[in-house]
Amino acid sequence: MDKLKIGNHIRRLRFNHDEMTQQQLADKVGVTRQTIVAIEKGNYSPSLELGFRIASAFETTIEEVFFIEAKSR
Amino acid sequence: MSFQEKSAVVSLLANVFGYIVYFGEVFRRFLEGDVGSGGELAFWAVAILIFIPVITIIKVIVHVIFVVINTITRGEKDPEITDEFDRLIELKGVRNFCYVFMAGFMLAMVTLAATNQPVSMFVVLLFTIMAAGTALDASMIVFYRRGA
Repeated sequence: MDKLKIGNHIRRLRFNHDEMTQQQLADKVGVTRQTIVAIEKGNYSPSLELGFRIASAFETTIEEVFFIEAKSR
Repeated sequence: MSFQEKSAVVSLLANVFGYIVYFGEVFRRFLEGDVGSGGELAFWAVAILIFIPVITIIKVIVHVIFVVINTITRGEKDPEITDEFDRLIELKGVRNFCYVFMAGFMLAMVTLAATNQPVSMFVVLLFTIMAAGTALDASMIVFYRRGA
């Protein structure tokens, strides 16, 4: 099965929420700043639970945070 | 470089340093014939058993020094939580440790079968321990840098 590449709008959402820092978002969702950096760069796909927690931190739905970029092998 | 990457680099260097210092002394004693009353097999077995607490103590001391220096110079604190990203990287690192250790163990058995010399087997096992530990730390560095 083709691997899905998942993108996110976390950087933009952070900026729109009083220019929230990566550390502040990390503290809000209970992970390290390194994890937020990896997610924003697309180097790590978070678990469903963490995805929902991030969406909850931005008071939006998970579909507004994450999207499917492109299908690649 | 993030705290976790630096910590993995420090761990790798401590592993190599501890290995070189400890087994340098062990090999020196072996070459001088100072193997004790138990014979060669017991000498190597004891050397491996003692290596485990020795390298643990070295790594703990080095990690504490690293955290103190990093906090003083960079103001960067040790993250107090281990999240899913850290756990995944650790799991993948341990997986690679196991692959390298198994390969080295098989090589040690081949060496023993080929040479019929227990010393050769122990030498290969000792290098395998270092290589596996290095693979673990190197994996963590790569995964923290490129993603898991």
